[in-house]
Amino acid sequence: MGLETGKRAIVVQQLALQTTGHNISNANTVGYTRQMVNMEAARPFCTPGIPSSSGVGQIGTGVAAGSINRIRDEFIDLQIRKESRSLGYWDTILDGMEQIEIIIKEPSDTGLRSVMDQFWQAWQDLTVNPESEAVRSVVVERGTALAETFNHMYQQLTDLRSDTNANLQVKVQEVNSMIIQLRDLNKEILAVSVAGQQPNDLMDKRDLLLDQLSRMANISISEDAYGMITVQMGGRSIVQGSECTTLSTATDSNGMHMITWADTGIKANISSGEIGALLDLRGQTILAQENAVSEYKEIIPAALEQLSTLAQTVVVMTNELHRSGYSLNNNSHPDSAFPDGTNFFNLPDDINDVANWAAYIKVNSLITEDANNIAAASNRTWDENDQESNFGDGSLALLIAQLRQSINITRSQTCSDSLSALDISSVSGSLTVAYNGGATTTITLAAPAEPYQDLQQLAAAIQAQLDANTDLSSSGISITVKCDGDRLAFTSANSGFEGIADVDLLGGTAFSALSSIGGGIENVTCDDYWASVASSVGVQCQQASRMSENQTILVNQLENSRQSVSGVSLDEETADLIKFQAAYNAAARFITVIDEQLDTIINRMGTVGR
Amino acid sequence: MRITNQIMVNNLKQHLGSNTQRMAGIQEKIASLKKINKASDDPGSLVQVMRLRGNVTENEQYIRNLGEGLSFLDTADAALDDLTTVMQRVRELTVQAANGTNDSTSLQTIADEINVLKEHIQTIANISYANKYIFAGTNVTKAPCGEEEWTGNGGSLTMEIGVGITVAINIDMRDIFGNPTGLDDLGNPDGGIFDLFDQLIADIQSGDSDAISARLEGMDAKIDDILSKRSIIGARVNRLELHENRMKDEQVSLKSLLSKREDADLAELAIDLQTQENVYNASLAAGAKIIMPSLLDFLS
Repeated sequence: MGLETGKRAIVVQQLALQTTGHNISNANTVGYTRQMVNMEAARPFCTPGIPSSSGVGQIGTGVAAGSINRIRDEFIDLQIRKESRSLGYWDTILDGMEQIEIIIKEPSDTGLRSVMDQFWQAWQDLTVNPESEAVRSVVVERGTALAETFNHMYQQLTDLRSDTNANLQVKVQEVNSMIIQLRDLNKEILAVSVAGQQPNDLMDKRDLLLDQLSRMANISISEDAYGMITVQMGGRSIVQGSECTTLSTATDSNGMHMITWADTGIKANISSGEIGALLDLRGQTILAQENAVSEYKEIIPAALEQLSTLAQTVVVMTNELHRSGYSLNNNSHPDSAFPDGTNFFNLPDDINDVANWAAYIKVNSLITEDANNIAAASNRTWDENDQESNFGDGSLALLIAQLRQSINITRSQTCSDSLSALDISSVSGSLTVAYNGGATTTITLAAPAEPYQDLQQLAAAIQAQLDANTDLSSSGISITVKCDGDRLAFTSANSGFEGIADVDLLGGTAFSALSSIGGGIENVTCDDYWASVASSVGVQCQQASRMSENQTILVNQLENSRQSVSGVSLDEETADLIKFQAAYNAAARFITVIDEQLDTIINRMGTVGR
Repeated sequence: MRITNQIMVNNLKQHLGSNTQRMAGIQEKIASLKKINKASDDPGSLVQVMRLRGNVTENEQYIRNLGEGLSFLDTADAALDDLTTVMQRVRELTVQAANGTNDSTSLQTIADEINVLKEHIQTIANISYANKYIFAGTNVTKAPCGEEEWTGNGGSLTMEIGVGITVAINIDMRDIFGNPTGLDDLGNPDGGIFDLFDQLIADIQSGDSDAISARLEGMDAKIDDILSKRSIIGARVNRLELHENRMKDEQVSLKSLLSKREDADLAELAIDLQTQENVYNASLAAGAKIIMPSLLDFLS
């Protein structure tokens, strides 16, 4: 019995030494949990007879290794996974926001703000020197620079969006690889546990994978009796026992990926974590399965949209004024009494046709080819005898320059049909105004007593009718009619004005096809709008940076608490090493003692009478 | 709390990292001399900085416009000064001619001189500044005093000299000069300088000294008119100069405001950097001491 006790002690202490060695070897292994041999006293020897040989009852039989355990606090694991999900989210958002911030490039002397400033400045210079070819070409150059800045920023943001999209694809593959590894580990863990052993190192590997996976997305984990885990993500079990479900992507016509389940092809609702952040940055796809109202933050699409809105406002406002002006080439116009200003920036027939103004914006080629086509004058530049008469008039250029300060609330609509070929001398008919969410009111125009001499008189007559309309005046809507070249333009500063629904002048020969009222920025100047865009990017970036910093500290602290429980302390292990070595030595000495006892019994006892 | 080697290494790494990050932030500010290098540095001030920058550019433009306007007005004033001199000389000649003791040769000489001066007045009327005829209204590309008629118009050359403040820099001289032929559209005398001179020359050539004397009145009235135009110019120059001074003052305060918002305080940053460096050095030194010892060092 004594020899057996000694042997057990030697074996168990050796096991403890081996485990200590294992701990020391893995002191720097990521995800490693220190292990400890759970030593317990072996079952005591009990003699049932009343007069037992020793007389005191049970005898100890040495030590037994109950199990080798991981020293781990699962509550800390839970916290770490929750916080690192948040860390993954904010880190990724911060990454994206920092790039948007670089693209926005404010404050700087080369950002959009200063390019816009230079554009308005060029118009100021044109006000002073409208006859100068050199100043005119500066306006063209500044206009081109402005358009190109918009184009460039739009391109950069679009590139950022596609990069984010590509990144999303990579993350999905990473998640898939983790899912498969987790399933394989589940199988291995099962195989070990059914054999009644502790698969400590496999569990470490699994827990590390779970830590990494929790950075990616919102997951919840449960463990069964055999140490196999079930992982849930996006409302489905991605790993369950030896089964798993992987992710896949569906791609829309813009190349944007929507995350789907590989087996069903249905959209996987994944939020938070790195993937959630990428989705928030990139925004939703245009696939039918995505809701019309996005569930994501749409950070990059929002920046693109704001840029486009600003571009649209600059285009529409500049064009509207520019069209009502007279260029220096007005003598080539059929009737120089009408303004011949073209669109300064390209404008489609229907402004709703353009989705991305920041990409669309471009100075009209008529203007880039001949700077004299810039309309700086608000009165005719050539007189009725075809003599230049008003080249020094820069009053329209001044109006355009003043757009810099103007609060943009003008809503306008222009007839796309020209009236120049029509006889307007005795126009009569009706036009219908839409306002305040679908209400309409019709204005009738009687034939004039004296024939209209020109379009201005017709516009004045329509204006008088509009001003007299009680429906409009009681709704607080005032509409201005202007001649826009040989077309009519209706403008209002009231947001209730929704456009001219129907025009039936000229006794049935209606001129229709009105260009629609577009969005554009309202109630703020272009400069202030851009400043608020830049500052909101700044605020978001600041928030992301603060959150990411906080989460880093939090996760680090939790990591430290985990280390505090599970980490290998070399000092401790060295001390253990000495402890177990001493115990081993003592056990060996114990065996020697038993050996000597046996020697005494066998060799020295009963030698009397030999 | 149980402290392991890993915890110490992690903490050291994290703190060294945040120390260097703070140092990099201060260094960026020192290198760029700006407090706000990107939007997130101070989103609150960003809006103000952007607006102030816009205001500075805007003011620069207004100051440039004002300079242009003042030069334009100076040219006009010099031209009118010249015009007054010519008128005064013609008045002298008229007084001389009205004397009644002149023979026909000397009267002709006077008439010839007035004729030459008339041509000079045409030159004055066609004076240009930066390729712009200054008395042509908005028809600046055409010499206003042509062969037959005055081609200038009454349009004003306006420019913006402050937000929403516009000013005309040219003056309408049509009533002073009249048509070069001295006749209006209907062929009647138009009362301009050329009309005055033509009639004066005719009177001198006819030798009617009473008629010549009677012209003096019209002459004086014209000189008065010119002087009143000059006073308009003078008043406008004063206004523009006043405005220019105000703009320049404003520019200085805008720039100092902008500087206060976005420029880095070097002294403060230098001290911050020094402090940060000390902290960094201290954490490095402490790290070296803490990480080093292990039980193994003391076991034989």
